[in-house]
Amino acid sequence: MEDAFILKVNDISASYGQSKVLFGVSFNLGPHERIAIVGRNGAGKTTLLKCVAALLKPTSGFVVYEGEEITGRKPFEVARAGLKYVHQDKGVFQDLTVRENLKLSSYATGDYDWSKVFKYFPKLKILLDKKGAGLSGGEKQMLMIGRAILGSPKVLLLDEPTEGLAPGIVSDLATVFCELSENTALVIVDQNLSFISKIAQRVYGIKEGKMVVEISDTQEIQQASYSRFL
Amino acid sequence: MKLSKSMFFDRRYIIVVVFVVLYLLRYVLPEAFVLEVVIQSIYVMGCSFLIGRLGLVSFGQPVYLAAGAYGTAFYLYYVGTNPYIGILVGVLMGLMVSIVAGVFLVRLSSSYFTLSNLAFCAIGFFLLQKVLVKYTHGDNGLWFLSKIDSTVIIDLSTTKGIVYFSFLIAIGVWFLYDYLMDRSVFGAACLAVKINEEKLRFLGYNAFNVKWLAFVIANTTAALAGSLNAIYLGFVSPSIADVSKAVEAVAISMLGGAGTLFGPVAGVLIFIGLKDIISQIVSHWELVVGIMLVAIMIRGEKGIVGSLEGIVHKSITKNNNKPVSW
Repeated sequence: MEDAFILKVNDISASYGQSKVLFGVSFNLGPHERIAIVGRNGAGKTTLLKCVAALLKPTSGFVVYEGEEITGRKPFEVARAGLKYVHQDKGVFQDLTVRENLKLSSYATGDYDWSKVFKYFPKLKILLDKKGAGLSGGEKQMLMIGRAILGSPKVLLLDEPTEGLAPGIVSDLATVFCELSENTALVIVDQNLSFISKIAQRVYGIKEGKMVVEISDTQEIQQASYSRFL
Repeated sequence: MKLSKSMFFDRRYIIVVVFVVLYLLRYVLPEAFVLEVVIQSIYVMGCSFLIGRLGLVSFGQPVYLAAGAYGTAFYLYYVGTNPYIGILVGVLMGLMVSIVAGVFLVRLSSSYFTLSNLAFCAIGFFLLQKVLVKYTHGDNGLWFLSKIDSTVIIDLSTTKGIVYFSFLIAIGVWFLYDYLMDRSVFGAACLAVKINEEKLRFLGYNAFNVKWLAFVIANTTAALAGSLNAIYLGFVSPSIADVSKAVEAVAISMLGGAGTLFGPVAGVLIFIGLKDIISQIVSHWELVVGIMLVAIMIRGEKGIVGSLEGIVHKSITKNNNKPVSW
């Protein structure tokens, strides 16, 4: 029987040196599903994504992607397998042009079809020769997501994608994420509840390194207040 | 063929022009000076690439230069007489040393990489001077000038032939680096390593492999320079790997503009030129060059070519958003 979930995070605990950050966190992600993880600063959201993307080795627990355990594998192997992480700091390569940023991703994935990137982010087409350092926050976010969707990843981990962006861009991103999920499952970590309520099919609340709530009813998600998740 | 404006700014044309002008300088300046400039430029190119494009400062360059020189010297002294095969052996020797050293050294970051390369250079010097003395003849060195056979097309047994050949090789090296730096995905990946290695991994790259390959290419280039130098002098001694020379390649790279295409040529021209001129006036020429280097670094970290690049970029590309890189 085919597994209903493309990603399973089982009982993950993690720490930075002596400081424990995650305590037995679990969640599952179905193909084409959009889930969100909400929590205060320091709750362990980014740490959780890093554990899933193999950037941080959990102290216990394991991650299964497409039926295979990926805990302990190298980050580039996980990325090549189609599980991509989009960092929260709008970290495009500043000294490289938009074209070079996209080329890098194309070469790594063997996917040179940039039309899908321009379909979601047409603005990038006119910015191709502009260096990363000269892009606005929104343009950087577009480039990061555009770079990540090359190679048609099966799972995208998006860390605070709306942070510092203008409301108009946030609204556009919501539309893009909904369209993207036709082919890619999304895990979105964000604190913007109105954004989350527009796109998430399931929301987890994380507090002090523990999952404290899970809401899967769309209506309930739209009505939920921030305090519900904390 | 119709000449377009962009053709004049195609760096491949500029490469040819620069080296043709440099070649013609031999009619004005001493031939030995011009040859030293071109061979040293090849030597510094790898170091400049590592610093400017990957952020890796290596104080071990003399050992890779020595690997090439000794590869060539061993072949010509002990085995054969064909200088082309000698150069090939030297380059292969440099390639092997770089591959093996890279496995260990490239894992290290920043100052650990820098100092481990320095230590590797010291080990190389010690091996050549003491441990392998039976084969290297220690400080007496290996003399093989009379063993170099004359060859067809470009006769490397003559100085004229070596000069001509070195310039052809230099143009080839610059074409390669032009491609590596700004026309290839590899060049972009190198810059990405310098900017943020971790983020390159998010895209599915093995950052270690990128650094290792760059390290091997850069140091094999140094070995090529060592081979050419050995053929020219017909002599090699352990002093080529002397640790005291370790800083020279780094200083020249910074002086000219690390990571720029023509930085090594400008740096070497100024460095050797000043050394030759100032050493005739004062005995401690290093002091003057040192002060000048500090002054250039204070003025801007981009070196001479890097700073010029900025000025030209502002003036030429006012209405054109395309980046300029030399």
